[in-house]
Amino acid sequence: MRGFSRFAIALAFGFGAFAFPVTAHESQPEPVRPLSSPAEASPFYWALVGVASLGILAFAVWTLYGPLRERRWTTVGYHALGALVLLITLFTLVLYIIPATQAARIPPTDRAWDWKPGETLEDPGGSGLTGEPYRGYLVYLTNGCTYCHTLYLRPQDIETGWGEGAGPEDVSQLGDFVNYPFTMLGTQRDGPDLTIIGRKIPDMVYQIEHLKDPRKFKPRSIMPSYRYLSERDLRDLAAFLVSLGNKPADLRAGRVGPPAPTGLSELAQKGQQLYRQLGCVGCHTVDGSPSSGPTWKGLFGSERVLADGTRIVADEAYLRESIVDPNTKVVEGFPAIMPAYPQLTDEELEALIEFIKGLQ
Amino acid sequence: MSEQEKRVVKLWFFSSLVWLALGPLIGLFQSLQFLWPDALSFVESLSLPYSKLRIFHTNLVIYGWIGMGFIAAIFYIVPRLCDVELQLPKLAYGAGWVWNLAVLLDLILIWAGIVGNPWLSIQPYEYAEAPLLVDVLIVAAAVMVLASVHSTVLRRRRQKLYVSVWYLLGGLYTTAITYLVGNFLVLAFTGLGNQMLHAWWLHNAVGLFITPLGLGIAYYIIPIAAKQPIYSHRLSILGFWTLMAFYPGTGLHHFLQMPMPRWIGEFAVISSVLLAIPVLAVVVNHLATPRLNWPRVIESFPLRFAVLGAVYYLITCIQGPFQTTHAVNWFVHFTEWVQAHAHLALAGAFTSFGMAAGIYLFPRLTGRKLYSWRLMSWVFWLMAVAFPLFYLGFTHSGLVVGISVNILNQTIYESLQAVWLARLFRTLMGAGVVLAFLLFIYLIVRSLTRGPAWREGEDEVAPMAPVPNPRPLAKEVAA
Repeated sequence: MRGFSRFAIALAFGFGAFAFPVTAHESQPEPVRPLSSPAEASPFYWALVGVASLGILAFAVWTLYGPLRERRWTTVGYHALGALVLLITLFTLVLYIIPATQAARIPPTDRAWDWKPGETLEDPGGSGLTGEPYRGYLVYLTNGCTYCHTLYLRPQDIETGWGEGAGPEDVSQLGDFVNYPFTMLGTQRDGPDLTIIGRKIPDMVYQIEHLKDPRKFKPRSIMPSYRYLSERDLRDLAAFLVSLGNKPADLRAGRVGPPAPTGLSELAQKGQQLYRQLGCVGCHTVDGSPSSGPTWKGLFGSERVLADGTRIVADEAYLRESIVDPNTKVVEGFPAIMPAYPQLTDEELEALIEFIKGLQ
Repeated sequence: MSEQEKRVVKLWFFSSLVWLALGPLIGLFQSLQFLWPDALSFVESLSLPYSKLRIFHTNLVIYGWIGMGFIAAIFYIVPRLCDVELQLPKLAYGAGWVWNLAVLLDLILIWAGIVGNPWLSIQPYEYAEAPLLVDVLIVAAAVMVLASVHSTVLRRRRQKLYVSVWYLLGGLYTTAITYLVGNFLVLAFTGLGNQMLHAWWLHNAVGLFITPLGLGIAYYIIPIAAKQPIYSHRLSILGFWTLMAFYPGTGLHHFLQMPMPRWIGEFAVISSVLLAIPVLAVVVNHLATPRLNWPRVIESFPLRFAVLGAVYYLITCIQGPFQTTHAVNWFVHFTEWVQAHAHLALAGAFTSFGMAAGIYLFPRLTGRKLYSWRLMSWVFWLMAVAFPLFYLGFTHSGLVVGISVNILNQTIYESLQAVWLARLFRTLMGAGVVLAFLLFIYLIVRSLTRGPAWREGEDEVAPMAPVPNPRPLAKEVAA
């Protein structure tokens, strides 16, 4: 019986409107098949499409070859113009509204963005800054970030420059967007996708500094500077960015970010500070997850394969050279985009290396 | 044409020129920001980063230039075709100021960037960023326009409606629906549902607002300037009804690769592909109309521009169905290919129609011809030569990014480096296009004082020789 009513309603509105998947974990990312048309719709749907197309073809043939007489509605009957146009448009509108209404009923995934107005987030980078991710989303809207950055990952984006650091499990699902008050998924990418930016760079201080002067950390970036934003706007926007890609529950419980400074030697603590201040956090993670540059976890003492194929052990001298003059020995699989830091003192270099040593 | 009608059309037409001067110039500036972001970063101190300028650019072009220019043409064309004076001219005149105020307020509020105010904040819908307060003003103005045009049609002295009137009237209706859905109904949805309705204005602004109005104008200008009847009445019926039937569903083809139910994307793709039918019907009709009188295409500038517009329209709308199919879309999505397509439609096809209407209207509004054939030719050839190169350069940038990211798996910084030269070419050619717009405005403004007198039945642009000199020389005055 239920099948029949579905059939009847679908017939009334055309076009398999009820084939909407209302399950939370339905989507294992599908393989990318760019050259084949993804035909998951039911045969019924295609039959309707066929009927509609044939009807339209028949109409076309009729207008071209049928008798064109006075007082026929195609000839003189345009008094009904307004009503007919309204009817057609409203019909299509219904086609949009049905799934739009159903979308609200999709259960959210556990990583779905879920921040309420007024709720604050503490910087997982450990600076003690706080910001409101919800308000940050409004700042994101007000300043038009969506015209260069998207907030969803397609299967094909994995391992491309647009989805750097993302794995197959990061592909966006229907349930990821349920809690957004409105969506800005984006239609243009002049910059990278931001779906997992908060996991790659869980550090509000870096985010704020990068917003103020992007080319300080990414010399070839074309992003404009957002230095005109107020302190509060910057903090909230940074909080929003940090909230992307991290499970809200993890962030609230403080389970995101580098190791707590307790248990680190004094020198390593200073290194951790430098890691943030210098913006190393923008490209190097400390928990092993991928990003623009190699992760620092387990880096010290490991064997590196360089772009020219030679192998080298990451000892103190190698690390020191790579900071001061990074583009002489570039690790295979990474672009040579790191800015050089010749201005660092020996003590600062030692602190950084001590911090890296500790990340085993 | 009565003085009151002239006052209305003049207000809408000359306002549109102001916005035409501003909108594309901002676009040119933005393309420079892609090339030399550091050198141009002073605008960020004025709290005008690239991202906000982009909203300025799109809104000025859509609401300022195309919207106001087309409505000016409607106020001229509909009364002529209905053989009756424009009804409610005072309302139509007032609507012009309300619309201008709305566009200005839109710019100010976007610049101000107020966070979290339901009436004054930017809205998250592409091309419908105007804050709610501005939306209300636009709706008010649109209702006034609709009232005026509609009562003109109702009081007509000709029984039959011309093709142009179907398009212009039908276009105003669909504009109303589309605008209300895209700016107000969408507010009722959250999450992905919000995104689906977002698609409604995102694409239908072009399809159900600009397209029917632009085609309606071309359907008027082409036969009247070519002095030939429309090629085929049947084709015009086919074109009109298939446009109205297929266009509303196409919006979601922007979101094909989003996590969304597949069927609605497929619906959008099928609608988009079917759009080839109205496009071919309309373009055949447009281009076949002057066939018995080809020399007019050279002689008459309105016809020249309208034919150029029809050619661009054909290219745009053949490209459109092609790029919505999955086979192409996965590759070009997110790249400048799509923006190039949008420019071909708005800056190429519909701006040409708008210019054709402007050239046709000018003598009828002011009683003067456009003073310089040479300058007019420059505008035309820039539009005919620089514009296609600009479009190709833009498309090329998109392809370079597409190859770099999708196929070579390069990082964003590598793709930026790869695309720099393509973007430089785009900027240079784009400068030519902006120059065409600015020369067009200059020509019109100069002709207000320098244009020789125009009499009914004459062409709109003063011929090359003898050199027109409408003002008596000082000696002659003294004598």
